[in-house]
Amino acid sequence: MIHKRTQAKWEEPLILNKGGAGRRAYIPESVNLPKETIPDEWIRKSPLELPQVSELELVRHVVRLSQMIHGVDVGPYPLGSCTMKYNPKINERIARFPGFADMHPQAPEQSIQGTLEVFFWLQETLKKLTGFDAVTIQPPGGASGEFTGVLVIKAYHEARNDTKRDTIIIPDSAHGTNPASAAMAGFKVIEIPSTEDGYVDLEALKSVLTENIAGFMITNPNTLGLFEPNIQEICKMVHDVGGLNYLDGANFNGIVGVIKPAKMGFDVMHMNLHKTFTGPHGGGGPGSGPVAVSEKLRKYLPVPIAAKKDQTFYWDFSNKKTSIGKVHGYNGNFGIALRALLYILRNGGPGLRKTCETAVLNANYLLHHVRQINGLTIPKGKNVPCKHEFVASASKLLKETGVSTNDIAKAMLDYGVHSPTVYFPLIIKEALMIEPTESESKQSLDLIADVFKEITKLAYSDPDSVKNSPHLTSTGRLDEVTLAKKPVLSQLIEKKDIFS
Amino acid sequence: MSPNSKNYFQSYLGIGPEEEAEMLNSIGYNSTIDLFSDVPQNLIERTPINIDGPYSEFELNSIFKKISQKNFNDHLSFLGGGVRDLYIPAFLEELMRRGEIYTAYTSYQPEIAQGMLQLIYEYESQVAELTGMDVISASLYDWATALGESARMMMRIMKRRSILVANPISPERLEVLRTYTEHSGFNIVLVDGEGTINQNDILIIIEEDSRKDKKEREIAGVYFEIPTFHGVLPSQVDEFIDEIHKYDVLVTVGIDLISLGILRTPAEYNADFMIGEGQILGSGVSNGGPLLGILGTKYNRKWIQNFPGRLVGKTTELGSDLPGYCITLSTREQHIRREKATSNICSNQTLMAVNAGIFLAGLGPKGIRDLASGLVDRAHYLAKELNKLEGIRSPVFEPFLFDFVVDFGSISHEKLEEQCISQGILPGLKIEGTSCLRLISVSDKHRKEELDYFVNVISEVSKL
Amino acid sequence: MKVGLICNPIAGVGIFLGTKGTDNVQLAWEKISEGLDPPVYKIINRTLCQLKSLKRPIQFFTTFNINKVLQSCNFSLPFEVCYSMPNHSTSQNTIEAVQIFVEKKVDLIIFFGGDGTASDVAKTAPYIPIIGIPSGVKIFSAGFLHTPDDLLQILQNWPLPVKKELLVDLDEKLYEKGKIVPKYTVEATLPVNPRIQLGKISYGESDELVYERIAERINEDKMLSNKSILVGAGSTFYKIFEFLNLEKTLLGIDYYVNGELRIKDLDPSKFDNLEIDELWVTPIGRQGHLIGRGNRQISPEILKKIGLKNLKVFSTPEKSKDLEKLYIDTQDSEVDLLFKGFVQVIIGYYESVLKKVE
Ligand SMILES: Cc1ncc(COP(=O)(O)O)c(C=O)c1O
Repeated sequence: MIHKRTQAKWEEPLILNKGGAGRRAYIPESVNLPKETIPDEWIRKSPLELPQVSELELVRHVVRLSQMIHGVDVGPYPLGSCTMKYNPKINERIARFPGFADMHPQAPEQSIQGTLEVFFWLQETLKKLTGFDAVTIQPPGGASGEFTGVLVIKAYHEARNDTKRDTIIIPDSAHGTNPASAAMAGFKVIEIPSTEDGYVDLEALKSVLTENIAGFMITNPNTLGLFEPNIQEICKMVHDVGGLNYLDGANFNGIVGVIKPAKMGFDVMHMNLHKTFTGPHGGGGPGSGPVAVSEKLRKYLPVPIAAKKDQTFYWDFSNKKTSIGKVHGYNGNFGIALRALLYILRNGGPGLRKTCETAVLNANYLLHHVRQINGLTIPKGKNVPCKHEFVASASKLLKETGVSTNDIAKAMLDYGVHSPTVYFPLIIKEALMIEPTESESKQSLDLIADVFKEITKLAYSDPDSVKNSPHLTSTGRLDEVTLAKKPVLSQLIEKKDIFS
Repeated sequence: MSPNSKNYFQSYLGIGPEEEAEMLNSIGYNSTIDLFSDVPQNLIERTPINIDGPYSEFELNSIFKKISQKNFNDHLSFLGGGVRDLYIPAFLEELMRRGEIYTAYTSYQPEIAQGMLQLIYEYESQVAELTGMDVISASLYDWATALGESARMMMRIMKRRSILVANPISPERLEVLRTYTEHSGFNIVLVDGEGTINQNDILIIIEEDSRKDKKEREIAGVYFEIPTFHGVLPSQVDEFIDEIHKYDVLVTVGIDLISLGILRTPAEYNADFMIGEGQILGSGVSNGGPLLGILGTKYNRKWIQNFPGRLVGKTTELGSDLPGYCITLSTREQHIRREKATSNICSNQTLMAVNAGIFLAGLGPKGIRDLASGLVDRAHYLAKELNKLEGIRSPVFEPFLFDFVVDFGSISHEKLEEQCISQGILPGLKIEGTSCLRLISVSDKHRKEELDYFVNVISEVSKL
Repeated sequence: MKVGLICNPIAGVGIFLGTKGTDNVQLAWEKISEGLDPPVYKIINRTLCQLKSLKRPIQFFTTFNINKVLQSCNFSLPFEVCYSMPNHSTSQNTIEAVQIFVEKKVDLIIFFGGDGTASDVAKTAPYIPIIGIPSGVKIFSAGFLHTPDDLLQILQNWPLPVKKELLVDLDEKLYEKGKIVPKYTVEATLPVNPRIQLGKISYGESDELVYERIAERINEDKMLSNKSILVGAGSTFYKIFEFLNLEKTLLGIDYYVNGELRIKDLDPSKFDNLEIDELWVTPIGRQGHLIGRGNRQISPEILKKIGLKNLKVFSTPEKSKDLEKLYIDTQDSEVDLLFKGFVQVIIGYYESVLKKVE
């Protein structure tokens, strides 16, 4: 038996239902000036029932709630495709330096030389790491990076009067953001099937390559954690019909410092700084999704881009006319970009290479152990090492015991281990997508493997106990069905009693 | 330095060199690079990529301290226009440093993320309370992208292809809106107004459009801001919105959330969608990001199917009455039903939403009222004082709330900036126009002395 | 190995009656006596000829002289007619024949027919594995081969694992009105193999949005304009066309010219004179058949004329997700071959999925 973990279980009421009249946590600075009035027609009439709590009450509330959250700082978090690596604390300190935290984005250039230097340094560094010629930091997330990159592809074709190209090809193993981003940019999407081995099906690809193709979007290492062996040929096939190649860099951690993406034949890529370069994930964000492109696409990137002349940094707007436009009100998630730069600099070239190799080693080590577990199978990548992650399937277990991937995911939580990404990629039935990252120790990899072993074993002897898990988390399984039917999305909806 | 002492990155690796060898051995490999044997060998870099680093933690700390000090963050700033540099209480900063909170990711497993989900639900509930909108997205990237998303949503719902936008609007927001719409065949029609919303022209355009055959109609919605980008509170918004609705056209308003401590809510004047910038709710301006895109609407099942961003709802534990929180209606999201995705947004600004929720709880009803009226008092005092100076018109547009446009007359923007910066002031945002117009925004960091100092400096500059 | 082989001689005649099944036995026999060659004979011929390369001894018990059928491909099989079907046979005769198979202790029963025959066979022999060779009009039940050409493989690899499954036979009258109501269900023993189809389940997409968005795409890309199009059967089209404000029959094939409905529920004999630019079809849920189930009216000759290039496939995303491959079963191997390759399935406003057709 492995030691389990009991998560805190505070029955903490909503902050709106706590406190008492007149209590205050934060009292804003008052100012000794004449009172002004606003036009009568504008005076607020509705009640304003925000919480009235003291500072301690609020602090205790949030600290208690935080004890009911699993983060990387709490335990293993092998959530595939998300690269839940350690978030260095020095980055948090530096990001809060007042010069960074309190600077307005639209201040004149001379007053934001520090900001510009950070942007510039990161741009230059990402160019070197990717092998591309130009970088924008503006997209505030991976999906926004995709949208930007796909628009750049569109702008490129349009500038050449090549207007028939209305379709983007995407493999069926792709993340849902890829087709959604392509569609937002006004493209049609053709999803192509993968081969038995989980790679791009060259026959299928060939059959859709026509002069209508604007581009091909792929994740590599792909979402199965496998490196596409034919990637150079694939990129060439797409180029041969006049299309461009887009790399979804969500899995950059599997090749960073070892392979420069541009060399594979890509024209555009986005990175997820919150993944590969450890901007913390923040419970769902903020992220940052810089886009790197080859020379011929430079002029379509969003403006401005940080530039340097002599010793002075400035915003370069010179491509404003050809640019696709802005994708963020200002210059993207500077705070995350800064943390990414800090992480990269702490590592340097040798460190990033080591990081990548260690991430891949950890994944293969865990794969080796998971492969031997009865009930789980590794459907793809039979004879090759995986990269930074791998995908297992619980189909066999489900058939033999009725215990599903979802049940395994829930049961894991009782061990203080976050579940892998489940049911993605869609091409693997009962998928468990496992990415341990380089941050985890050997003990923690062994723990993850043992947890899988124990749960699958239990599935054969006492399937119900797995199906009823988790037991030790702050709540058991929730009634998600009723919620979807009657979505109580705020206390206001509760108060109005909309659904009765 | 010996190569060994440059291994600063070892702190971030879970395994040491000896363990590495042992693990490799146990899975049948000699070296880590052998794990790349499946990769075409011409792609593999033979040596580490030549970038800066590795740096020690100490080195990073000092290098970046210096860099941060190159920024003039200590200058007295009157920059706003969407974000605002407000004071952040210590307890908030302290709480946001909790690793459990910021090192988690999306709450895909609600059982182990109740704290996060409750914090998000509290954010949604408080913004709902503040705005009167039932459903609040958690979350979008920033105000500008929230505008892009809301425009797309209005067009999806109405199945029409144009949006009317009341100018003045911030040029940045407008540009993002265009990127989100015009590349995919949608139209943005700007309707210019003098500092405020040109209600007349907007209604004329809508009325004309409404006379077309139903299938030919183009205008799906109208977007305007309250207060406008030039700080103005428009009049008779209720009637205006009613009029728009009569023609079966939707309305999105952009609002300043703090203003709602004293102003009427978008629900009161019956806007369909509400957007705004959540940065002002307790996070730093941070060079423009991370920000927080806020989007809200009244409950309407059909609209919610078109609503972008995550939604956290309240339910119960299966088999008990205990409340529990989880992400819901996720079929709208690309990771569940890509073909039904209403938006491509995946990672968002959750941490900023949590931050905003705690900030609002800390402020409470009195706090937000005080904060809002304190800003009004500062802005009006400053505007009046500036107006006393020769050659300066302040404010240019009225009635205004927190921000106002000042006409500095014949002086050039460059000269004004240069002079002010040399006196430790960042004098607001430049506005396109024939004379030297700037948008001046106040903050709770401004005491009376600071406002007076600004006036003095301007008085001198204008005499030059 | 002992195999029982039974054929419902009127299977598939419903097509020529303009009904969606052959529940009306009397009418069917009338049609045959008027000179219609029973359509099932062609299928029997195609199915059994492949057994030429069968590499194991099998003892067949049949209801007809199979070597008569095999003459055309110059070989013969050992068989014993253990029940002889009278003229104007009914389902009672099927049941009697199967009873004899049971007495003979056959290992497997192969039947030529549709859902009706399947349930007759299953209810008489619930414990013997059965395989259907699709020959009827309604083929929604599990247990049918995706294509008759797979029979050889199945027999070669026998025994296969088996499982119990409920077969449905839909109420024909209600089905024509668009309601999928099972008339009755029977439990059957079915072999498990990817070449054998699973039962169709209805994809009542709760969400009308899906159909609306496909319709939007059809409108936006002007797919109906300046073309003559045959649109196949199925609820997918029925709902999409609602959003296009065009009438569409649920189970018939309709003919549209430049966006207007010209002929409703086409009679197969009229196809030849039509100008056809495109054929639109939707796969049958879980089975993946584009042609050969539901759209049986479309003859191989017409298909040859249309070609893979002018075939447009539509599906709801849910249905598409469950289908790894698509199948064409035109009862003509040559035409089937013509349609092999990749085809794009339109599943939404912007998305298509490329699928392999086999
Ligand atoms: C493969 C892949 N692509 C794209 C994304 C989207 O990135 P983001 O969440 O930063 O928008 C993800 C996120 O999980 C991903 O895994």
